[in-house]
Amino acid sequence: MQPSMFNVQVPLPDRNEVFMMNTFTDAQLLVSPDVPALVDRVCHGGSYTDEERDTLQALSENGFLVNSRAEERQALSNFFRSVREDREQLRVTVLTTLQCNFACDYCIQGDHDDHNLFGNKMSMAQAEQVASWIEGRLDELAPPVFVLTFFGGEPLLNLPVVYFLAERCHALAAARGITLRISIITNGLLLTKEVVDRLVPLGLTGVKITLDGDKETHDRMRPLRGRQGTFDRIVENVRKIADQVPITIGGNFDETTVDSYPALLDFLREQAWADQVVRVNFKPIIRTAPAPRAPKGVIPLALVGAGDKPLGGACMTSAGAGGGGCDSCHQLDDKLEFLRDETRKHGFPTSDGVHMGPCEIHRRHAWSVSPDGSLFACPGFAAEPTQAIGHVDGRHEARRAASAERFDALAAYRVCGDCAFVPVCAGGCSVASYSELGDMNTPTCHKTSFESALISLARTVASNQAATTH
Amino acid sequence: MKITVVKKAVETKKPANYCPWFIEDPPAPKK
Repeated sequence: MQPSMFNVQVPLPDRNEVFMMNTFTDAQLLVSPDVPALVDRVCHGGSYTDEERDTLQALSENGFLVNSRAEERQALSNFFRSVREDREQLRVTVLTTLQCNFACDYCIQGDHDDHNLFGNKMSMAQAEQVASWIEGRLDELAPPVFVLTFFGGEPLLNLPVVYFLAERCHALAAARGITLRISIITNGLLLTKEVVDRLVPLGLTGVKITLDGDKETHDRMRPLRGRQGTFDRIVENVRKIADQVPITIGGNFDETTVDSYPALLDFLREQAWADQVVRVNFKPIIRTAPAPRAPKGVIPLALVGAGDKPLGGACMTSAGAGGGGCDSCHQLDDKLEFLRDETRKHGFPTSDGVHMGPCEIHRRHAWSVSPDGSLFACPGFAAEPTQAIGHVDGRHEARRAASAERFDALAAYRVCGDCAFVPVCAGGCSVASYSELGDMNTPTCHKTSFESALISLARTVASNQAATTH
Repeated sequence: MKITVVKKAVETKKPANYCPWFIEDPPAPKK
């Protein structure tokens, strides 16, 4: 036996205990300090007391001790294969349009002048093809659950396509006994009661809107194209629909806005609909230079300066294995943990920062559909034609087949060695790797973020445990 | 030597599907 390479631990000196977690099995323990010492001793062999043998048995049952490193690597490989081939869900994200009615300076999805005149928008004829393609996937896969997400641009700028696809998918799923879960990622401005009334009976189970701080900050960060503020109208829209559909609130912060988030959380907590918020997740923006203008009709994957050098603009990751990267990334990682703590203190569910990936780019049966019907492995690539892996009309093109092969072999985590966070990270965001490094198979590493989140998780687990035993 | 199992090992680990940029699952509806 030997210790698992996926063991992580956090000393809790005030309790004279240690929190131990295995990121592969997800087992979590609170132990006395002599237990990690026992785990270390396993490497050297020797004899054990009866109590130690019992403890080793419990550690082994929960994956903290394994037979061999080779066996563990094989189990990890099997896990990623099972994720890739998982048939429990068909996941389709439809970008109904690349147009948007907001003019967020930090947005990676286009410029802020006449972009709407050129941003692609799905036609009804294209939506018909998308529906037929989805029908084929449902018949081929026969999944228990079909997750349909509307995204953009601003997806509600193309309501006819949203309604059409929701109705068709509802009928297709119902006819096959498949559970349909529809969600919308929207800026919230057009999220009216009428929209929700129409979509809930069709399977709408979640809406995610974005608030970038308190009213003043949000209105500065997420204005209309005429620079008018949007906070009040979004909040009023949410108030009217909050009893009909679970609400997720997202927010994008940078060094200049992060301090306004506690005021936003205060505001949200005061709302009558606060308990309808099922999750709050804030995410960092990194900006080091003004965003260049994007070609019309496409989503730039990275902010690129002179000489085609990435500026680290929209990216929120540091590049390369082993935690190297820009200082501001790690400063914002710290801020992220601060905001998670604040979110929890305000009584809102949020990500624990440890249970993260693998994301859906690692699933074979997860697709993003761009407005022209091209298929992508992830919406982050959805305006990069060279990254299309197919088309809903079934056309066969060598470049799409080659791209599909690239995504099929995607495994940036193989470069990560024996990092303990591989099972919950999978090598990080492939879009960031591609946009920063031009190689989606190079990891983007946020080990420091995982480590600080693990400390918070350990404290939360210990606190909850103390509450249940007293 | 004290050991408290707060969460047992899961046999079939499920991906969290977290995405830092784009898509996140809403929590599964309550039955």
